[in-house]
Amino acid sequence: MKIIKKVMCFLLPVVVGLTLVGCAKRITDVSQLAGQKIRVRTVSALEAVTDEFIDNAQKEHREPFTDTEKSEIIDISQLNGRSIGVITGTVFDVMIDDAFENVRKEYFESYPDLIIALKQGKVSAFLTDEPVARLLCFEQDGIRYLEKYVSRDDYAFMFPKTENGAALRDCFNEFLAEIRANGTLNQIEDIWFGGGESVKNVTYPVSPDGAETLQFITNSDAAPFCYVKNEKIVGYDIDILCRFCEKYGYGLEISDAAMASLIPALVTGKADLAAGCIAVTEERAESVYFSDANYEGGVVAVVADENTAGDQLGFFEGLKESFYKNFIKENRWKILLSGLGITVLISVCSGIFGAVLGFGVCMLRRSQNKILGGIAAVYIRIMQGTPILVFLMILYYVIFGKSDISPVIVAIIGFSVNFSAYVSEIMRTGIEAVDKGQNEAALALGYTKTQSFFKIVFPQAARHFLPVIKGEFISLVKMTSIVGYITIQDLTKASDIIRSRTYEAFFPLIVTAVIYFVISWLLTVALSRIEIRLDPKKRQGQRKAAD
Amino acid sequence: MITIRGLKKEYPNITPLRNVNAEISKGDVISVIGPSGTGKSTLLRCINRLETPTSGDILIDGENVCDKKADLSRLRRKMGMVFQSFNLFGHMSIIENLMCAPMDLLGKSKTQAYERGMELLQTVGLAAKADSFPDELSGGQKQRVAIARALAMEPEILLFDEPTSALDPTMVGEVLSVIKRLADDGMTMLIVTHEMNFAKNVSNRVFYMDEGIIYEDGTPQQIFENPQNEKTRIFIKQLKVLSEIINQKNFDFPAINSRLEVFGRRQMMSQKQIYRMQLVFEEVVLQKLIHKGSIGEIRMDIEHSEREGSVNMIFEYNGEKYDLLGDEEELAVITLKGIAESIEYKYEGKKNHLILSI
Repeated sequence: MKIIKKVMCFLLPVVVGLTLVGCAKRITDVSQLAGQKIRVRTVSALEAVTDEFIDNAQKEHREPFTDTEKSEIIDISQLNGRSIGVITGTVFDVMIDDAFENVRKEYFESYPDLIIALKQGKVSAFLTDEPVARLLCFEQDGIRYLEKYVSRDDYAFMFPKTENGAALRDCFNEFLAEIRANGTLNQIEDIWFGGGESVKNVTYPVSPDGAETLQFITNSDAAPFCYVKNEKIVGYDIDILCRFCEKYGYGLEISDAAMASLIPALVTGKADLAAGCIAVTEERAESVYFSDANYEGGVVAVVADENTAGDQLGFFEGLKESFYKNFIKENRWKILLSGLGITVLISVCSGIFGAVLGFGVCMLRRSQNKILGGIAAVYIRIMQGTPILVFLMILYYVIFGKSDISPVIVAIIGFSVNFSAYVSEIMRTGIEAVDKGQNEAALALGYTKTQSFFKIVFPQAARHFLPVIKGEFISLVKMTSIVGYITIQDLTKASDIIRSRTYEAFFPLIVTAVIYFVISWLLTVALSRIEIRLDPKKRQGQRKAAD
Repeated sequence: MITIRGLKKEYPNITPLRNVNAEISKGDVISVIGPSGTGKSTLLRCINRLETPTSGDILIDGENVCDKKADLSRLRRKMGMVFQSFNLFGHMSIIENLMCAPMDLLGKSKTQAYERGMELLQTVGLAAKADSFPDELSGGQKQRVAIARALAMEPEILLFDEPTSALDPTMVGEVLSVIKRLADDGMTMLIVTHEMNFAKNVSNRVFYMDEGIIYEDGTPQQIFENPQNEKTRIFIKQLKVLSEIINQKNFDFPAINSRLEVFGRRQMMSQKQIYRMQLVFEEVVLQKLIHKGSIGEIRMDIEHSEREGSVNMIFEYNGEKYDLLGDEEELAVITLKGIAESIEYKYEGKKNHLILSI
């Protein structure tokens, strides 16, 4: 029944369709047993899914994905000519070119995505560091790794190429040599690369007042080097780092970013050091300083394993288990909850500031002064023509690169600015849609231009543009899901973190989608209320209904 | 009360007001008439500065509206404006339309504004619609509300910019009767209108505007019954005119004849009338004037008044006094006398004038 769960997770829509077909088929089969016919009809669609049927479905649906050869992969040489998955920004990208011939590379953003792709046959293998592979294969059924190293590698901490960076690196090297000599490093390895979950814990350094705080940046989906457990970033690298800070009296602040963002963060001075299963390469060494290797290992290939038999759980037990794993275990729901808070915070603040700013831009755009109007027009063009993700990264890594500003504030600034460009144009259209005579009538009564605008023109314009802005705002809420790129743990990032621990796609993704839907729906309801307040007829209608 | 001096308004390719001068006194009810595009609305919009004049002065109780430092909002409060397109505030109910400006600008309390608003709605007969919204009203009702809204500011003068032009003919009456009542109450008003009968019966003065100036200013009797200027007369009588000039003996007779026919058709004259017109033309010009020779230039004007259905043919020719009707025995003269309802001849300024009505 493990298979059911897997198929349900990845091929849910297809399988539900096929399930119904299968159900019908089964009823025809048993129709010879006249006496049992009625009973069978009452069996629910899901229960009617039999093992054979699932097997059939699986075979049918695996075929399009499978690579040319069906034989089991036992040696890395067999991977030549196949497709191999790689995480963007990792050292494996280059390594694949050196180690294999004629392979097609597929780029992914995280391990959960890679594992899912591997299991579905979208890629034949992916490369990763041996300790990571060991842990992945321990936790996950259906994958195994090839013992033979694809290449040997050293893993180390990265420091910015500055004077301070060099000093910190020397200090860190000294510390590393010391713990290697006294055996502490071996102990740490035993803890994190072994199976005992209870001993895997770190104590963040408590920095004395006035001590320097190190800004550390990492990518938290590199278990066991660096991952999230009980809403806390832990791992082999983190353990070493904490001990280092403790010893030298540093405070520590950890931020979590995509693999590809680590080096930019160091270069722009956002972080003092970075780690998280980072292999030493010449290319990287051009941009950053590496410490001595804190772990020497190798890279192995992880492939799908069709022989592993999972523990046989029923469908509902499977769901229950999966739910427990994704949300209850290690209080993972709390990650979602705080992510939700961040998403709502960014959305609402950006919505409000963006609307206010948009109004200002709209006023400039409408101003008689051609220069001001031109500036506003250019501003709008630029903002509408820049992808928000790129703009956000520019803000974070370039414009605010040197300042110590919270990424959440950067995100709010970025989305406000982006939203304002759209809002201003929507408002302008709405204002221009109001008949000129309205303004003239107000002026003729003795209102000043300003009074006339706010009292007569704008309220009528609002009735035109509010529904459009409502839609734009909802899309803003959904757009905030990219803030993970600048180290913010929003709702999407929270579900990524959970997936990087559980390697399951179904629950984290579906639940996240549902939460986004609910937020959008609630915000729509709230905005609709404002809309009703602005529409005198609806307002009156409500009043009459209330009487 | 209002003095307009040398008012000029220029747009890049048109000059609706060239040089307007006028004096408006308290209690005047002035109708502004004239062909379209002659600056009637522009004049009104300049008075309350919805348009900025190019040059000239407009003094309201001695204060110059055209002064850059003029407190426009305060000056505008003295002048109510009623627009062709009503311009009621769509997001407010009828009573709110009447209450908002007095509350915001005159500092009236809500109760005061409400009571005055209802009173005004009563006078325009729309008290029952107080809680409706503008888009639920007919055009005539909207315009009556617009008048009430202007009155709510207690203005000293009301400016009407073609108040009935956007209305269904069936609704014109209700609006005009409201305006008439205001006139009877002694309200000072300036009304741009195309309703000639209304202008004639309600106003005490009429401005005929043309060519960017006030062409003629007088009482309705003067303007409508005895207009001093040719243009005014053409406009008042709603005349359509065809002019032809004949200056040589061998002129293109068939061409003029066919132009007469086209003009007649366009004016919806009967075939009989067109035939008579052509006949008069032929008899007068061909049989008499050309025949006589040494006449020089002959000018023929044909005026058709749609309203009265009459056609006047005016011939003007140089030379010494020559009444072509002199020879009563002649066939042409008998024919002309038979066709025309009246014939008039005079010799003025060394020119012969012959006017035939058919």
